[in-house]
Amino acid sequence: MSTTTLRPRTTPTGRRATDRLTRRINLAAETPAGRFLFGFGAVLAVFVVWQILSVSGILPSAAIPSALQTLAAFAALLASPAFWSALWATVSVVLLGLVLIVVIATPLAILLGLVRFAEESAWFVIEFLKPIPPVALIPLGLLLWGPSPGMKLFLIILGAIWPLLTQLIYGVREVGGTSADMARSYRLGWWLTTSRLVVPSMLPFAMTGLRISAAIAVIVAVVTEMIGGADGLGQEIVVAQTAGALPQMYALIVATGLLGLAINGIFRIAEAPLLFWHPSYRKEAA
Amino acid sequence: MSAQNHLTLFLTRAWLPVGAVVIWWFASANSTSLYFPPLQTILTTLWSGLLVDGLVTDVLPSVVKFLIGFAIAAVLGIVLGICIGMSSALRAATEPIVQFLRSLPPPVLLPIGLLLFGIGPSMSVAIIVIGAIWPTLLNTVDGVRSLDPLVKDMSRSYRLTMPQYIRFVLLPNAGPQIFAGLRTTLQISIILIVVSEMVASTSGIGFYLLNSQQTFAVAETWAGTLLLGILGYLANLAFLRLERYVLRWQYGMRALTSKG
Repeated sequence: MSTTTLRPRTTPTGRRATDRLTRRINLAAETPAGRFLFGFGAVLAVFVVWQILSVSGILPSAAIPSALQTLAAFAALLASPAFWSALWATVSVVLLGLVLIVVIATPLAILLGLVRFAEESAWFVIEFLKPIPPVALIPLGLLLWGPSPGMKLFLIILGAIWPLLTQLIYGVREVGGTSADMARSYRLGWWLTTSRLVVPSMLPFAMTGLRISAAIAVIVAVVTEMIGGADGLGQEIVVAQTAGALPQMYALIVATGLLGLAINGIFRIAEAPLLFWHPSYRKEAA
Repeated sequence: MSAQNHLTLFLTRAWLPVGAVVIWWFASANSTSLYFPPLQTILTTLWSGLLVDGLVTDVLPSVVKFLIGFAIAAVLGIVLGICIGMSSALRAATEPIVQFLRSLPPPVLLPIGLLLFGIGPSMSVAIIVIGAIWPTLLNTVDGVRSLDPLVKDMSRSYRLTMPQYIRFVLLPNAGPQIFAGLRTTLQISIILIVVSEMVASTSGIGFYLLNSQQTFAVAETWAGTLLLGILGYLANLAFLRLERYVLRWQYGMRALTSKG
């Protein structure tokens, strides 16, 4: 707080000393090692405070197990094959859904981005379907197909296709202008134009869209499992909840969060070699 | 000429949705299929069952809970985002925790909410706040951090007080990014209100919807889905209006300098 205001010279020295201290702490936090230490320390502190509050009975033990119990349950999960098969049931459908989303969205985006009549015609339909909460379709999906992987897949595609589609349409429009004229005057062939111009221009948009789509796909998959009873992590959570196995339920929730974190991480790792040339990446690296 | 252009645009945008509804209407008119009732039946169910009888018991509670939850998440997200954005130490310390909570698919928090708050409106609101706050918070942090150092030094030289600095320097600078975050928060809030009513409520559209599905009330399921779609669309529309109003100076500036 105090780093942003310049104090007049007459400030008491004690005040100025704390100012200097905050500034030094903030500077330390900006180094990579500092960032790691601060982050790691905070996570550790959360676990320690959690454990103390549980043991001393401030946190209601009927609702929140202690940190150690949860960690033990998490370790037990990692050793149980049922957990891994549930994880795979969730992840496999999400991955398949994302592949299908790419397959459907790419030609659609090219059509909508290039043909003005198609874009204007589809405008209302897309603008109407986009904000519909994907979970609203779960009861309908359950009614029509029951709790099957196919139903999960259908809901994932319908709920998570929009970010990628919208981003790809932006991307298609981005191709063109000076670089397209340049490609034409250099008489680049179809292959060179596609590989050197079209794909690189669309890739940043595709990655952004796909990352958001992936996050939504995980949400839809987990909710479908929780409500519809399809196999997967969501169902495991509900089962643990009804069985009153609290530490296990919390461990599963932590595992779901780690899955989300891992998906984000994979995208970040995949983006680096694909987009290293892009201005926003170069700026970040500099 | 311009009127004709408007007409052409309107027609190109209208033919597909109108055509789809007309085809649905006539193709399902004599439908005896259990799962695909006639559109007319769905619409009368929507009107009489949800909008006339269920407005007070089902639709309004959902909307009110959603609005309260969204408002709290938005305000809290912006306030915390400003605090974290202004301090490097705080940012470094909270980053892993915030990233974890952001990556957590919010509906898995429902069982915890049930244990802590029981079945009721406070549970739905709490779940919305905990689950939907992150996009706003993260975007506010980014927006605060993106402030030009020159502007920061300038406001120091002018001895702006902290409230002035936040109100006239930080918030306008972070505005577009905050609104981008709020839009995601809005979408997650809608998802969460529906799911929380499905899992733990005795009223609301989500409850109505899942209840109809479990009792095989097919027309009611279709009607509820349709209503949720319409409400989601309207909420998004209202939000875009608000964004355009709050950021109107930004659009003017962008049009002048023609850069993003």
